Amino acid sequence: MTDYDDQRALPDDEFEGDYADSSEHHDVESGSVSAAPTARGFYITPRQTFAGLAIALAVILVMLLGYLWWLSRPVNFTETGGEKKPGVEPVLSVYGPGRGEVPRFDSPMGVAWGQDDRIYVADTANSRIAVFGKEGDFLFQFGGFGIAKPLEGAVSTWKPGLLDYPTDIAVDHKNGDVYVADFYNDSVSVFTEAGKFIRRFPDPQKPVGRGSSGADGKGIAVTAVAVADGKVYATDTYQVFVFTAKGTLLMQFGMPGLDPGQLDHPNGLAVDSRGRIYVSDSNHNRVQAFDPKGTHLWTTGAKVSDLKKETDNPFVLPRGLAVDADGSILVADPLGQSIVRLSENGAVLATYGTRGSAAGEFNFPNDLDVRDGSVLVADKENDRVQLVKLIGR
Amino acid sequence: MKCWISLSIVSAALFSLSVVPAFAYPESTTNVEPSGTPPLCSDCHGLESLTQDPATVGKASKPATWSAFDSEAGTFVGSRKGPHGGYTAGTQKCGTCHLVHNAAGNTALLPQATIADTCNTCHDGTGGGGVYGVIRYRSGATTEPAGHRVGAASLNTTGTVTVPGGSATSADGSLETTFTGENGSLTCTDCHSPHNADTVDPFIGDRKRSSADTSTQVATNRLLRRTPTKGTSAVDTYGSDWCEACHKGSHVKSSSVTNHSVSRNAQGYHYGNVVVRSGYNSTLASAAPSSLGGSNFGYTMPTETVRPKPICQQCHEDARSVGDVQRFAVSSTAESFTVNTDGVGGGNPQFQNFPHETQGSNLLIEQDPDLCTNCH
Repeated sequence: MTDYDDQRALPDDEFEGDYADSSEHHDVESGSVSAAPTARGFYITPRQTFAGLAIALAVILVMLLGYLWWLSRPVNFTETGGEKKPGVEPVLSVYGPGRGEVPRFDSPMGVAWGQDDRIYVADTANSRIAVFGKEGDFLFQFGGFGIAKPLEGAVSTWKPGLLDYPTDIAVDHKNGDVYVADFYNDSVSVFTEAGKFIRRFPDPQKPVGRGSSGADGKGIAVTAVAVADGKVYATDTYQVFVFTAKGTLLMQFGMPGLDPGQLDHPNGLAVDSRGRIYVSDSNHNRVQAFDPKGTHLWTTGAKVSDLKKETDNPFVLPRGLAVDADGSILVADPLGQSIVRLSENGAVLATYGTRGSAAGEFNFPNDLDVRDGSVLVADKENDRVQLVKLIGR
Repeated sequence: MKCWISLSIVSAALFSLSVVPAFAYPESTTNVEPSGTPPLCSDCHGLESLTQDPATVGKASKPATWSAFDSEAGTFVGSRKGPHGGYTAGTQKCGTCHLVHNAAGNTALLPQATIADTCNTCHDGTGGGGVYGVIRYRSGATTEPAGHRVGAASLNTTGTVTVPGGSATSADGSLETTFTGENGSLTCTDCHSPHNADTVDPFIGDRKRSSADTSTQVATNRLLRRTPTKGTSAVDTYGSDWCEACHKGSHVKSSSVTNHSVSRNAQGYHYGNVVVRSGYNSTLASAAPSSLGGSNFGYTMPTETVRPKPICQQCHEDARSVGDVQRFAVSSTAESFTVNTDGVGGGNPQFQNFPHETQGSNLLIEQDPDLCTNCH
């Protein structure tokens, strides 16, 4: 039975009062309602009138809702002039293993894509590495707190595989080996993709090359690490070190100072397919590029002269770096609360992100890695790692 | 009847929609900014002070012998490096660290929750000195080390901060108070001015002391505010008076605590006042610099010559057995970049962080009786 049929079956007395003053004709005998003829002779029943009105109002309602959605849509995804405005599209957030004695991250500072789209996280203040599947599902963890360079009067607790404040992480995509910047232990620790300890280098108890920054001038206080073409790159307070995968020192460059090629607390490192080395010269508010021999190529950010006078900068504090598939360079800026994209020649292409704790927002993003457009971000002070897509440039 | 009810509902829905979407429109136009160029941060906040030599900011004159110029970096220490400076008058960067106007509850416009996070981005050791966390990560201590804790760690069980020697009248000399950090906690900006505005005179602390080469001394003001949060008056010198901004009872004998008297007239804390053990009140110029390398050999002293009293920092500082302060030698040419291993002994000044955290009890350089016999 239709609604119409249902209404036709209603008792007559329900209609009398309601329509007594209307222009409609009531056929009391038959109990039906007739409609007034239109100018063209068509007849429209009151039900049809209401139905038409209801449909019209419903259409208006849908249009208004659509308009409201358009007004309140995420501004990051606004398309202007045919080009997408830079923005961040959140995909997933990971706050920790979610199990065990320490279920949550504490200030994660490093992140890297691994084999089979695994996500490796340097959970810095917890001195461990946590590994997740591409959907954010926790797989396993390794590391743990161990002191190799104790303060005077304290005891060394380091054993192979233990870490002390890991600040960065990189994966060799040829074999899956994992390289960890073991900051307070003044060395790089190497693990298999399954987390089994392989080696560490350099020796944290010996000076490195012509000088290094570890405690007592021994080892290197590693702030960032990268792996490319069988070589391992690491930064310390003022330098870039290049090792073989086995840990033999090949080259070191950089020193304190303002000139091109000189560094101050670099905290980000990436190498592209041509062997170009990109370094976040963090405390100089700039990113520098070097050729495979360590020769300076370009600088983006504060120029040498600008460091001695007033200037403005695309960066506040550039840190973690990654090279995207198109050769552009992504830079995490924890004090800028953003990610900056540079061209392979150092031109600023886009800036993404704002400070906050919602999905897609950052709170001191310290590091990132990118694969197939999927960007992992070590969202340090939100105590999480985010997987995001960067929109536009 | 049903039709009317349906019509009424739809109409009501349409009417309600007309009053809902305020959030979706641009910001209210009832408080329209004046036309023309919008105001800049510097219009009100005086960024011009950031471009000055910190030795002259807010001061009429400075001792000519003190230098705040870092010859190593080529900049004035504390004024330009990293996020501490280097902004144009028209910069829009302020908003990255500061909430602009209508910020909740903090005079510096920094979101309270982010002050310590901002500082710790670098001062966890990865980007600068004066770090927090070293004792935790290099000693394995599971308890909070002594020091000026910040954030929630500074709060006691009643939600206030206990300041030892903070009161001249309380029974034990302590004071329960609040600071400007989150929930009233102590935070970095209670003592430091990140952009070097209205800061104390530069001084040479122990961590920059070198037994090998005094020519590389660098004086900095550590970005210490002349008027810390609890200070009632500005002081130019990082000496006893500066500490007493919070530790007002430190020189007072209370009912249960007798504090060592301190000099409140000291010239402050600078290298020219360092004395050696055997030369009471001698100056650095009369002592062999190499004698400063061992434990308890070098002390800062006020320049008073008659019955001198110590200043707070004379006994409350990093441990003195720091060996050679140079972590590793740096030079102007890359090829001569060498490690200086001579004199590097136990401990490293890079990781001694008074007054942030220390392994020493009550931030003392050593324990009684050694502490007392240095002078007595």
